[in-house]
Amino acid sequence: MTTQASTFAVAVPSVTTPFRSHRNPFVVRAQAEPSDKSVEIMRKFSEQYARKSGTYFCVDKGVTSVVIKGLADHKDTLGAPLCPCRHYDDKAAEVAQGFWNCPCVPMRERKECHCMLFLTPDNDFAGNEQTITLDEIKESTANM
Amino acid sequence: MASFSLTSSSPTLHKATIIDPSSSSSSSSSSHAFPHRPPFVLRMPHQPRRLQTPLVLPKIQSLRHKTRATPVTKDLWDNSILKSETPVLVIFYANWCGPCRMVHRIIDEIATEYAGKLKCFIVNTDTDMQIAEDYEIKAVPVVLMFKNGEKCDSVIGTMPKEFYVAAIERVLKS
Repeated sequence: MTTQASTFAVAVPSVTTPFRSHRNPFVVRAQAEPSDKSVEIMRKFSEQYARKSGTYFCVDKGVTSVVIKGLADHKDTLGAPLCPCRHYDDKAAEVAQGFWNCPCVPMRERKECHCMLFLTPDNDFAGNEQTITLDEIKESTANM
Repeated sequence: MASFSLTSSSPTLHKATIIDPSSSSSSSSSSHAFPHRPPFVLRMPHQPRRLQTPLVLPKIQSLRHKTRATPVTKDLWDNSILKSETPVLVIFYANWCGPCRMVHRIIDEIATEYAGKLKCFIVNTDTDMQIAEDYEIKAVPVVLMFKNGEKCDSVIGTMPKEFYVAAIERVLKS
């Protein structure tokens, strides 16, 4: 005298409402975040190269942080820290050529860093620090 | 009493099966989450019991700092820039370009100060590559000035505000 329900039906209403994006069109958006590992590698490299070349980070650490993350992103996606402040027709070809792989040729030869990552002491934007922490990078790019 | 079942031929209905957890090997592994083993487990036959790979979504982040300059794409380029009756300032930027952030702030101030006299637009060279190639943009940030549909001035790199103001004044007076 037992009733056993072996199967039953579940009604799933079809979604008719179109997906609406609430993104503000007037907001500048960055790409997907680079890996923490690559960010740390590029952070250490930046500190070491600043000391080696006698250059300093920008007085606005936000600039430094974004560039370091850009280098890390290119390291993740391309396998090399291609300069993030240039436009390339073919990024893979540029990586193979090596001219714009950080530290780029203009930086190595003339201490000219278009990205403002490595600034000579006489530069108006140069700070007085050659170090940046991972927390500083995360903090200054948290609102991106 | 006889056993019964409810089914439907409606396409919006999905048949679910009641499974005894004691006979299911996979559900027993998750039963430790409950203080008492549930009497039955509902599972949709067409769905996997668990995700085969973890769901990883890229963190898409944005500058909370809203820019007064309007983003422009290839589709809007002609109408917004080339056919504009007022002079136009366009800043070309890249996603991970640090100096571009500094220039954005300067252009925001300029957009406010020259409201009505000048239109300001921004172009992402990572997404709108064709525009960047058309104007031979190699390094960013680059600010281009347009008047009557023609490029008439440019400021390459990160400069103090005075440089941009001087370029704008030259264009407005010409």
